[in-house]
Amino acid sequence: MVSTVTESISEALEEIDPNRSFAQIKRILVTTLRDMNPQIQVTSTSYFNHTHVPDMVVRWPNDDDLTDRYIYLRTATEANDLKSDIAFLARENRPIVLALGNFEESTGTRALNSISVDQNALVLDLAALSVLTSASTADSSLTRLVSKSVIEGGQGVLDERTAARLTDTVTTGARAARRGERLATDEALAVASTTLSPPIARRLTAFLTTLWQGSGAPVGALERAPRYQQKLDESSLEYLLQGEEILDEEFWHRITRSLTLYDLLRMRRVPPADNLQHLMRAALISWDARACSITSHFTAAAPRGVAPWRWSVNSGILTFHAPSFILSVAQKVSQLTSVGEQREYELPPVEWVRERVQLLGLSLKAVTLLNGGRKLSYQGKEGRLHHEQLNKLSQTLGLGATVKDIEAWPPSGMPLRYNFSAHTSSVKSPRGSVPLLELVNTSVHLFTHLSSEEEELLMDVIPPGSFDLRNRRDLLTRPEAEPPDTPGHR
Amino acid sequence: MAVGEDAHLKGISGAKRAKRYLEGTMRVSGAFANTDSPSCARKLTLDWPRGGQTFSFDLGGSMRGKPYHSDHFCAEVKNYQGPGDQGPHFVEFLAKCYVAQTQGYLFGDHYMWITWAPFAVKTWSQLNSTEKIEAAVIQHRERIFGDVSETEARSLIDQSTVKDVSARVWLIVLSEKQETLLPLDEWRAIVAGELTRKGEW
Repeated sequence: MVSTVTESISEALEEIDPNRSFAQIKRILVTTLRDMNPQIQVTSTSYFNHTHVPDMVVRWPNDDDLTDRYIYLRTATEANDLKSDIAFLARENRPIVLALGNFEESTGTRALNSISVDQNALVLDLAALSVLTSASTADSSLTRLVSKSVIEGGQGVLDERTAARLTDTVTTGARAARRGERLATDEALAVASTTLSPPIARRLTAFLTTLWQGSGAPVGALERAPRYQQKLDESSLEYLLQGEEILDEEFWHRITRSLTLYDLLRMRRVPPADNLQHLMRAALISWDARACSITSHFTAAAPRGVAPWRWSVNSGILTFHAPSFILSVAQKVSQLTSVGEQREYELPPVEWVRERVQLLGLSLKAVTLLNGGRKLSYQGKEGRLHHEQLNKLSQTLGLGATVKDIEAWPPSGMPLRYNFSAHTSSVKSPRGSVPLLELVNTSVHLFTHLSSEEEELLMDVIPPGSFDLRNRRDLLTRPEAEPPDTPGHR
Repeated sequence: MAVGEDAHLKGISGAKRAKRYLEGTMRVSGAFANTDSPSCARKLTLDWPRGGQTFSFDLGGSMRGKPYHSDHFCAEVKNYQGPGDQGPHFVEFLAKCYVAQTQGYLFGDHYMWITWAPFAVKTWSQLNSTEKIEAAVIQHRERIFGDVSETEARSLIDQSTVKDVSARVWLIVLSEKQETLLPLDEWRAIVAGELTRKGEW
């Protein structure tokens, strides 16, 4: 198998000037490594094929668990030559030795593998690199996960055969884990533990066991089950979300049990892939959250390349795009308000808020009202503010009183602060959280005025739970008050 | 790490040992051996002008730091325990250097003879003299000038090239003990840190 990468490297090797030849090879490798993982930093040195100084250094600035790896390019491909070279490399630099050719058949390969593992080193040839960078495999995103893992923590010798075996075994194992098939899953776990250094093997193990658990099979049924549950790392989660679509709802419900909203928000960017939509449908029911905001479309920049009614993640913020608003979920309100220009929305009248609060079944705790330059803040006795008290407060401020913010208890019982000026809602307690579905539904209905058609479309994606306004309107015997104009941008 | 012990040298070619020694000085930014790969061999192989034969050097590479910065070198390596037949080989080496120099060879900034055993000790200081180079070219004249007489060959020799070669030949004698004098791990880390600070990475 010859890939474009190896062809380009072979061409560059023919350049007579070694400085130019190696500079070109390093440029090719920088592109290749960044294709495998756009988050890594690769720095080239002005040395080449040197015993002591690396050709390149790879850094993972966004991954505190990974220390730098030094890459040593080698014109030699013979096992004994490479073995003697590796003895001079520092174990703590987790060397990657790339032979710029294909390994020769040699009796020294076994000894080379042994010293490589001892030295924390990965030794691979161009044929192995070709396998790892090949996009022709059936599941290229999974191949990329394997390639990334190899660069992050591969050890021992990889030639064309062993690289293909690693890729095939992990790919087959991942599919088997999805179906709860033990043999192939165990084989993938075994190959991960022998080919990767322990921290990276643990990540791949976490990925495979998560798939296994998603199938509904017990972890204990695996011979090579990890002793302790490991969290999915970013690249594994990325593969899961961007890989082949998984329609099994039960699978996603099981996955959400081993993940939290925080795990998802740690990812820098997740496009609105189908699997993310499946995950979110399950997560809305089981995850908790702390803060969200609603941005009206006529005030927000139009999202690029995101179809409506879909979830995506960008810079640690989970976003849902509806035709008339964007819902954003983050760990803190400050993250939501720091993104882009901070907007101030027109405040809704007291009567409109009172009616919405009643429809949503919220218990008011505190309120801040405004009318012109006059402001009135009030906290209900024993923590609860009755609707009659709210009416009296409104009358105190006179006609045209509006609501700046409220504090209210949703059914889960953890007080939330809804800010009508910024369209943000957040849990007041510094350590508390509320069900994500509760936070999302109350915020959408307090900060937007959706048509019944939009409400129905929304319910297809975000289950209303106990916040189905149509049902609640029917339940409430009193006639519906005429809603005011939709709050808009001032 | 204890390096340069016998175990490390066992089975390693003289060219690889010479490469490692030169790189240990940190004045060689990279080197490669003729036997590393076909593309390396091609870089170190030249044609004799006459007779259709080729010859090659064992090692090639680049240097750094004044006064050799960005210069390229090639080397003939003799991993001998004693003088052996180095005398005749060295004469042929000088003739090869002359040919390389006439061809404007990229790796011809420096021609190194690296050995583990001295030879021709009585004439050691004159081994790279212009007279010795001229004599070497005349001795190997058939592959350089074709079927010509000694007198004719002498008239064909380019004296300026002879002077250039004389100035570019290095004679390096190594020993196993000397090979153990490699930079310490911590010093290499300091060099790496300094290069990073200067932005040379």
